[in-house]
Amino acid sequence: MAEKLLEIKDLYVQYHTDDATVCAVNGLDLSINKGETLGLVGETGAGKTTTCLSILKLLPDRVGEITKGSITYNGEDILAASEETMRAIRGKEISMIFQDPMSALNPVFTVGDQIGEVVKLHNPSFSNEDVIDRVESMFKMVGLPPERRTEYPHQFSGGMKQRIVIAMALACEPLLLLADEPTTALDVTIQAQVLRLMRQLKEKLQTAMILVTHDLGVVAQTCDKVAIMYAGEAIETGTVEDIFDGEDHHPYTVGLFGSIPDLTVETDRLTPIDGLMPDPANLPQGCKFSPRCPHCMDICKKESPRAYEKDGHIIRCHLFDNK
Amino acid sequence: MSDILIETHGLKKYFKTPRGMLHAVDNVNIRINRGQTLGVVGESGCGKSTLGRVLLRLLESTEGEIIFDGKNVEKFNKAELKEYRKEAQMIFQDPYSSINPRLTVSQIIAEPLELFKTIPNKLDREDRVYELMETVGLAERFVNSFPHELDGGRRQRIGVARALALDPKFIVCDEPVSALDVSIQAQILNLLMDLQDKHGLTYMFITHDLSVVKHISDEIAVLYLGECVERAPSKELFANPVHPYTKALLKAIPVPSIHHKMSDSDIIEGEVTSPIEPKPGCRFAARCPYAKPECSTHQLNLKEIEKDHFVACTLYE
Repeated sequence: MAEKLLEIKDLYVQYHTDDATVCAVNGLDLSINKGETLGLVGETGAGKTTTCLSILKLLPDRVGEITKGSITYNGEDILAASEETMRAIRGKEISMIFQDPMSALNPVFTVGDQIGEVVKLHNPSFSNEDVIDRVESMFKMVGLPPERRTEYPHQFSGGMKQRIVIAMALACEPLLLLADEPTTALDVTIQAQVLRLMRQLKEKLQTAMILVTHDLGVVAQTCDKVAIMYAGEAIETGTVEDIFDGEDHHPYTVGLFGSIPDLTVETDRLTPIDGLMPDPANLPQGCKFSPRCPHCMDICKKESPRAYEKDGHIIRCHLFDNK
Repeated sequence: MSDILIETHGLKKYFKTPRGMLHAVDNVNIRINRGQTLGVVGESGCGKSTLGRVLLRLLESTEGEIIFDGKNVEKFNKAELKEYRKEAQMIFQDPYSSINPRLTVSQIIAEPLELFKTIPNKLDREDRVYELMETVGLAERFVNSFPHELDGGRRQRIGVARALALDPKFIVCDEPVSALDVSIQAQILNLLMDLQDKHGLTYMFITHDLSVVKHISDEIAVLYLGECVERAPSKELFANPVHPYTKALLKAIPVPSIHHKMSDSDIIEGEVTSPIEPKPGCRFAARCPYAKPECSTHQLNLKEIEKDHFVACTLYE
């Protein structure tokens, strides 16, 4: 039995703005084992990034608030942990690759210094030479020439910056990596290179990973487990086999697959999901997908569906009431 | 009337930069038949958008000619150019920055109608705005909304409505769906295809997303650093890609199926090199797994290897 690394239970996150309270995450359940890759799929505003920030307790002060639920990392309750403990965890145990490599790097420090900062912080006993050694070995690992560590971010291309950000996230060999759309800003050939690199590093370092993306192709190629998010909930979770080959699906998952043009099949028309994501400041009653759902029933508008499980494949939908 | 709506001969667009001439579009020959869609694909910096802008004369070309409906676009006088602006339109990539935030939806859509005075009567013009909104699937209640009140998908619909306002023949779609979520993306793609059927529109569809381009195009041109390296009918290109870059590009797409695992050996190394003062010969040679010494010496031209299938590569000389 694989060891559980991170478990999120019934998580609720809200953002308080002047106008309204935005319910970004609403009762999310997730778990990830050591060495596993979990794909977190969903559209803009589904709460994917908020989930990652909650795990690291990096939600904006006073605005973002975890109102309910628990996050357990390696047996430790993250939500109860002190800021000091969190500082020791961030970068060392859990690290994050941010969406936009262009703005995740500080333009006025050399990239070597920026990677070295993490190393120095978590290894106070390291001498300057040790730090440089580590930085150079990280450069080699992500396929960049080590002598370029003295250059500044603007001297690198987008794909190279993303490699630097990956090197920084992996510098202390974390147990869990949160990758927030690591390849969205990149061209396909560069994306393929970065995904290969992440696969290889995962095998080498046995790092568990939460890969946030909206690209189902990337998920199929890299993940072991998948959670599909909609309006702050995981509406369907399971192994990649369950999601891509399983028989039963949440109507939203079906819609998501219908929306992507398939290169292998000839279709004249796509079958998109009608309507739009609900406004997270004003969520519908009952099932949050009900206004867009082609199978919407009376009960969907009143009650939130509970989770139906079959061999680890979880679907939150009233359609499965009878099964 | 010939079948060809727009074609280019040896089209070039260079930009002067402090470090030398940037070859954004270099010797590109394309041809689009009436009512068809040409997909233009390539990675960032390969000159896709520049090509689109040059075709519409939003940028002046450096060399070469553009023939639209049998007339040379470069030689248009003021009146002819104005007429051309009516017939050729553009849908922009970013629905957030391509529409004026100070105008309401109806003002944005009516602007081209006012500028070209096609509908002099104000009430008729309003009717036309409502008609356009209906065509693109925007609810009437948004008529007085401002763009910031709408989401990306609806904003892109405004962009489509504005482009359609003057009944154009030709529309350049510059990555119209890449800023949108997948479910919204599919809605806009369906809309564009329906409009093509209904109004007999001709599209040039610029994108970096190969699955989208296959879905919407009749013919595809693959650009690499300003040059067209391969051009073929859509089905043919996907079934039988010949240029090493096209092959690499197709293999780099992550397939949403667990039965087609990508193999690491298919991935090409390196990155797009600089388009400033490029070296002679094949521009892809530096990354090409089949590169030979002669690749970097002689100039390549598109060669027809099969009917309608053109490729520029020494392997097929």
